[in-house]
Amino acid sequence: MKLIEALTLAAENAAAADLPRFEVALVCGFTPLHLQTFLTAHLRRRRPDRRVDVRTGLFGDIHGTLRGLVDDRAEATVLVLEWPDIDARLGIRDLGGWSPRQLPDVVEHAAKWLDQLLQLAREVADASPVIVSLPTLPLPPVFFTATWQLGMFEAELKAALWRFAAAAVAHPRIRIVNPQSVDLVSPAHGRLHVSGTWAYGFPYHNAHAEPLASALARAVDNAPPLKGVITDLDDTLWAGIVGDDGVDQITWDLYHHTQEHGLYQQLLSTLSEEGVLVAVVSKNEPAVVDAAFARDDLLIRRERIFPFEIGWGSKANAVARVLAQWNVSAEHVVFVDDNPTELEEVRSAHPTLQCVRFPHGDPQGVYDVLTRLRDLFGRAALSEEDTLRLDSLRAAAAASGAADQSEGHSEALLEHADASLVLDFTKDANDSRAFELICKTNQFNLNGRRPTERGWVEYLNDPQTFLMTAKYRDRFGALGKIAVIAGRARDGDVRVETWVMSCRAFSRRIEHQCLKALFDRFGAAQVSFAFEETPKNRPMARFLSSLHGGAADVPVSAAVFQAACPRLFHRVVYKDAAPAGA
Amino acid sequence: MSDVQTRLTKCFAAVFPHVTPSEIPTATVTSIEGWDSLATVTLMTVVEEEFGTTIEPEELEHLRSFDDYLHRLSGRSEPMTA
Repeated sequence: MKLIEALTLAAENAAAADLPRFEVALVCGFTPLHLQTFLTAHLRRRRPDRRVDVRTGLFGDIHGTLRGLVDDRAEATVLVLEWPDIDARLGIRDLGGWSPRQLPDVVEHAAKWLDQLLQLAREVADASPVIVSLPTLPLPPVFFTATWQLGMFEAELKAALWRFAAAAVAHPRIRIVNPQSVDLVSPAHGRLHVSGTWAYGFPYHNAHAEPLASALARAVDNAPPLKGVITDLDDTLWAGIVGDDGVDQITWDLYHHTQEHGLYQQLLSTLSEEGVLVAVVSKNEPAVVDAAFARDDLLIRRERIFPFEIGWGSKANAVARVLAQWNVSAEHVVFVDDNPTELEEVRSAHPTLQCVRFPHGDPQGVYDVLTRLRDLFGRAALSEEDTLRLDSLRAAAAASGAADQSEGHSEALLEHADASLVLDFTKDANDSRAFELICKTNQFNLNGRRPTERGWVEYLNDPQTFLMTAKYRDRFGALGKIAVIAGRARDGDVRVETWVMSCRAFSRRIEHQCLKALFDRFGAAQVSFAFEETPKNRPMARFLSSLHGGAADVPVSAAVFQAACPRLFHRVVYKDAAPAGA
Repeated sequence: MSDVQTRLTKCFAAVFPHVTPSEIPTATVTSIEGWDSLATVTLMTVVEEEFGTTIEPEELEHLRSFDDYLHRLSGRSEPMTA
């Protein structure tokens, strides 16, 4: 993006006065100038439904600006560090001396400054996300070693910086832009603008400011990872055509010059362990594929894949069946195949599905695909639910097989499911799973509202609000935390403002048990709902209407709920506080 | 309007979106609200990008109007007569 495009986007953004604002605080030690413009433009591209407002503080006073942000209302804080912020002697605008005698003091001062910064960043991040860019500009020739040699003081300085980074990322709302990702798009020698630094205090060439702003905007946006990958087999998961070449002739190793397929298998296996759903769609004979997956040197076990769609029919139809079994929308899934024709067929049938060609025979191309997949599925931390996802899908399939499928599971199945629910009323703003559920759930979702991270923390800090999360397990396995309800309770009236439940938890009457818990806990005479219809929340509307036969936004009284509630078989455990009479 | 004028007008319009196209050819530091030191640097950078040229910071004190930029980009040292 050129500066002129960024200015045009920023002007469009400024004119969008009727849109809700999205305020971002940009904290840096230099004049933010074009970085502010590029950041506004990139955020505007990512958030066309918002008017982006990138505010800046006092240049040169990072600690003071951060201190002022502790009680600020910005949705996110972007902290861009450069070496002179950590110690002015590490810059080229101040003439504080580069004497070798000063180097121990520079290192010591830097460590202390970073310690203070860490405390302040954590305080700000308690309320809203903090995005940090570590220094991207080269250190000036301040050390007595030649610039090609890493000396002790420089190493200690960088060690202090990485200690800061390691401690910072432990906070659930501090995100650090990976310097490696910036290195890939911004060559180190083209970053520092010496005359700009001196003339007007802006140290970046645009060729660096623009990709850095792009990386910062991506981190602010923090798009949730995709949910599943559907892969082809021949010349994709392995090299060779298993039906023609034979099970023993397909390969994925250095010896056969097919290492890229081994790496792909390894990545898929890793993604699966992280909770990404992995399915196979392949034109093959099922028995042949069975035999191939019996090979014990495959790097992804068949247990990590669900489902297998093997046959000679249309791949677009097979992909549709996978999506149905996962109960996941196409926009959350990647399809990987080496065959451009197959990719085009699938893309035509599922326009929102990301179709990625596996460049069989092109090692560098495959490496780039692996990196792209990692970016599409990357997450800041792994939760218990991530590791349970595959098992719970299988369990759902098993339960479906055991059920009469008229409407949900049979009475007998539910009664003998040995189901337990943990209902937790703890208001934990650092519960990333609860926030993730609200941001990702579409079908059983009261109104589709997606709060910002800042908004969610503020909501929970309001003493008038409550939060209830639900964890579920039954004899088919554990689902983990699958439901979140938030709202306000006063004088016997409960107003539910947020209610989401994972589609994996449908048909178990968990929604009934959750509603019962609200009546019990708050002694409510009625519960009302901030329901809003969305293109996808029909399951939620159906449930609410089923309670009284009316519209989904009609309140439900205790008597009406009692009459409508089917038998519930869960063993319920309350955390934080038990409801009266429970 | 020459190609240079057209492209330069585009640069001014991006930096000063509140200025009408008819005002741009006569724009000066004093006639345009918001032409401050930051706008000066922004305009310089946009012009550098658009024309693939480098403008030294010392030149900025002589680039105080649309006409000044036009002369600089046209390689003339004296202002053009209308």
